Parts: sequence; structure tokens; C-alpha cells
Amino acid sequence: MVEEILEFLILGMVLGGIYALFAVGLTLIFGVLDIVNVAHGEFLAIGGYALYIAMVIFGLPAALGLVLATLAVFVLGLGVYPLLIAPLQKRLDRRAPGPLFLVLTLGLSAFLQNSLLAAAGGEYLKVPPAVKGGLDLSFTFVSGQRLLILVVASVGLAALFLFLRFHRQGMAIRAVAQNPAAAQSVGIPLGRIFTLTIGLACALAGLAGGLIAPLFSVYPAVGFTLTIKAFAITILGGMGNLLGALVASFIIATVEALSVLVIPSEWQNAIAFGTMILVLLVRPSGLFGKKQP
Amino acid sequence: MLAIEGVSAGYGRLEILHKVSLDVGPGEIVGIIGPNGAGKSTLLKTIFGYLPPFEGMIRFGGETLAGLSPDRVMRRGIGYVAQAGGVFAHMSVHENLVLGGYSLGTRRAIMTAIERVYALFPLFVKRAGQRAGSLSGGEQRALAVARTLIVSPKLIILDEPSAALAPRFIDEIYGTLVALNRSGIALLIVEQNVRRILDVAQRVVVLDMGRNAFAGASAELRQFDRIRRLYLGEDAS
Ligand SMILES: Nc1ncnc2c1ncn2[C@@H]1O[C@H](COP(=O)(O)OP(=O)(O)OP(=O)(O)O)[C@@H](O)[C@H]1O
Ligand SMILES: [Mg+2]
Repeated sequence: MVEEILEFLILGMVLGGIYALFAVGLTLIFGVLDIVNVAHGEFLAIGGYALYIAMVIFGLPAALGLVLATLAVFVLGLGVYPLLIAPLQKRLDRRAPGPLFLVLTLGLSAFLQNSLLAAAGGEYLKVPPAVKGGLDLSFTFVSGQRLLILVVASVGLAALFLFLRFHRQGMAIRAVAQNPAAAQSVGIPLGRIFTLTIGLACALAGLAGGLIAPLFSVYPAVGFTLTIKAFAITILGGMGNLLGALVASFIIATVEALSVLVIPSEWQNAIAFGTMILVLLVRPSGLFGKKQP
Repeated sequence: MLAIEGVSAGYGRLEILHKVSLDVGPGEIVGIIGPNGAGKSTLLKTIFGYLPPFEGMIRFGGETLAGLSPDRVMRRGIGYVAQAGGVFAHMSVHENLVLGGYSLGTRRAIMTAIERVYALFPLFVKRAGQRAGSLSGGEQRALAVARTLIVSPKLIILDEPSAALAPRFIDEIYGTLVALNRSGIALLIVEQNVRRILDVAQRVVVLDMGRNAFAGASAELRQFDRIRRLYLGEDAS
């Protein structure tokens, strides 16, 4: 039993790394732009496809493939603000109502998912693991890919937090999240920061997509359940609270992994989302409250 | 240096300012006074680019500002201190100052400029690591002023720098402002405290219901009966 619990705890940590890469980006976009990016899961899917193209079609090494996949989704993400959000803001005179942006990103999500379906077909594309072998812990075997996920997710998240804390543009992102008018008064161009924020968040999603591709295969809707789970994480961590999202990612992933031991797996998602609704009703500000990044 | 002529502006389609004019010369202190809701803050927001003017001309150093966003107006050499809540409350004093130097680009340029500002505001050396939101109201106002100085502006626009401050802090902030002005920085100050602004400003503009009601030297305004009755609470007789 103890060994089983340990095994699922490790699984929870790996899953938590993926959730965190995904949910922290979603939270960052929400904190800075006040927009819920429903299309975040599609950027994860595109990361997976980019890795597939790099590794399977062009036969590039896995490490290079991961870097290229992340970069590709970063560049795509850079387009979201100037091409979609800014024009809508302009037409609606700065303070556009939030629901319209929800519809906009929902539309983007459906558009991207259907484009992937049309371009690549619906089948599950297999991607070879980036690393072979694994770690034998006597009671369980942790595959190299899972270890890679843990390491790369940790490095990616640490890099993001250090960037936000110390880099001039990272500080500007925090400044805009806290006080857009004051940010403008010190010379920070809002549009550039919005563009960069979505680009970075999408890059993290793309990286996550590349990391999970060998485990879950690649298909158009691969990011969909993750998007809804990330909403649960975002709410649990407190809307806009990056550290909250980080912690909540690991809480949800661990609970999810351990629940396999007691809850029939077909009930897992229903119970996860039931919990999300419960948290929303009991503690709408999340476990850690809404804190600015 | 700053020249505003016939500017109308407001929120959405609602016009608040009606053909307002005023100018600020190099090194000058100009005050804007007027009752609550007269449009004083709206005028400053329009000058700084938060609000687009409906009509009229705004020029600074010969170049037009109308239509520029605040971050670009700032890069022309204008600092802005908001009526309230102008600091990054969740960041440290030091981070606030670093962000003040955002437009300088390089880390080295920012650090050099910050050293200069710390020398002007020794209080903040001790408070460098403190969260800006936990400073007192007066200290936050001073931090907002200090933050504009990182880039050496030619003109600072201030919205009610003395609002909600105890007299001692009002003295302090005005001491700072006068010292800055002596070093050559022009100031455009919205102020409810009429006596205070008449003491420091060379010229004053009175706004009422979004229109210029008076513009002239401070000394002149003191003689202006209606103003004395309205704002100084004196009996004109
Ligand atoms: N964001 C806004 N949207 C719509 N109307 C506004 C907005 N801000 C201010 N107003 C209106 O514009 C008018 C002028 O407001 P403004 O803040 O410029 O006055 P003020 O002279 O600065 O007053 P105070 O002395 O109280 O600061 C007021 O009638 C106010 O209701
Ligand atoms: Mg005002």
C-alpha cells in the first residue's frame, strides 16, 4: 500500500509539473489582461504537433524538437494580442465588456481545434519519448520521459518566476498587472506588454504540449480537459495569483493521482469538476486569495 | 513649453472640458484650482494622454502631444503624479524606482539615476525593501514624485499632491516641489488648497464646470473678489 501511494505521489508530481506549466500561464494572462484564454489548450496541442513535425517528420533530436515547439507556440502566442484582442478593444473603446473576450477566445479555441483536425486529421499521432530508460526505485519504475517532465517543468517555471522578478520586461509585466495607469506613466507601452505576456504563457503551454506528447499522443483535442482542469486550478489558487496556481497545480494533480486508489477511474473527472464547483461556492477567492503577481 | 489651446475632452461621448486653454513656461509653477468636479483631473489626464482630446491643440516643446499614449507622452519629458494610488503597491520601494527608469533601457543607466534620486530622498534608502503599499499616504505621494525624477523630466504634472495629508506632510511635499522647481523643473499642479498654491505658483488657472474661469498671476487672483469669497473663505467687503 505504501509503495502504491509513493508510486502515485510521483505520478502526481509529474502531472503537477504539466498542470503548473499550463495553469501558471493561464493565470498570468488573466492577471495582466483580465482575460480568460479558453484557447490555451489548443496552444498546448500545437506544441505537440510541432514536436511531432520536428521529431517524426524531420527526424530532429528531441531536445531541439522541444525548443522549436516552444518557440513556434511562443511566436503564435505573440500574434494573439495584436491580431485579435487589440482590434476588439479598439472597436469597443478600451473598456470592452469581459464576456466578449470570453467569446473571442472560445472562438479561437474552436477555430484552432477544427483547423488542426482538418490539417492533421483526428488520429492519435505517436511521438517517441525524448529520453529512453528510466529510474528503477525498486518499488516502482519511473520512465525517463516522466523524469524529464519534472526537470523541464521545474526549470521552465523557475525561469518564468525569475524573469518576472528581476528582468526589466518581467517587472513591467507585474507593473501592468498591478496598476496599468501607473505603468503607462513610467513609460511602459501596454500593448507590447500584453503581447509579450500572452506569448510567454503560450510558450509554456507549447512546452507542456511537447513534454506530454510521448505519453498521451497528439490529437486536436488533447488540451481540452486540461483547459477545464486549469480553470479549477486557477480558481483554487486564487484568480490571478501565480504562486497560488503553482501550488494548486500540485495539489490537484496529487489528489487526482491518489484518488485512483479509492475512486473508480471513470468517476475521476466528474469528481474533480464537482470539487471545483464546490470550491467556487465555498471559497470563491480560492485557497490563497487574489494576490497580484 | 506646454501649450494647450481650445481643448475639449471627456469620457466616451460625454464632454467634460469645453475649450480649455493654458500654458506653462520653462521652469514655471502653474496652479490649477476649481471646485470638485470642475474637470481638473480630466484636464491632466487629457494632457498626459490617458484621454484623447475631442478637439484643440496640446503641444510640448513645439511638438504636438494630442493622440499620443501616456507612455509616449512620458518619453517626451513629462512626469505624472496621480491624485491617488499612483505607486505599485505590491512592489518594494526600490522596485518602484527601478520601474521609474523603465524608459532608460539599460540596467546601468537605471541604477545611476536611482542613486541620484536616493540622494534626494534619503528616507527611501532605509525603506528600499518595504512594500510601497505599506508606506503612509504622504510617503507614497513622495515616492510617486521620486519615481518621476529617475528620467529627469522637464515638466511634472501633479494632481492634488496635498490631498488627505496632515499639514506637516503638506509642508514636506511642497518643500520638495519647490526645491525641484529651483533645479529647473516646471510644475503644473492641481490643488484644492488654494492658499498653498497661491504661495508657490507664479500663475494660476481657475477651472469651473469644464471652462476657463480665470487665468493670471497669483497676485492678481488674490485681488479677485469672487475667488476670494469662493475659495479663500474671506469676506470680500
Ligand atoms: N471615468 C469617468 N467616467 C465618466 N465621468 C467621469 C469619470 N471621471 C470623472 N468623471 C466626471 O467628470 C467630471 C470632472 O471630474 P474630475 O475628476 O476631472 O473633477 P476634478 O475637478 O478633478 O474634481 P476633484 O476636485 O473632486 O478631484 C465630474 O463630473 C465627474 O463625474
Ligand atoms: Mg481631481
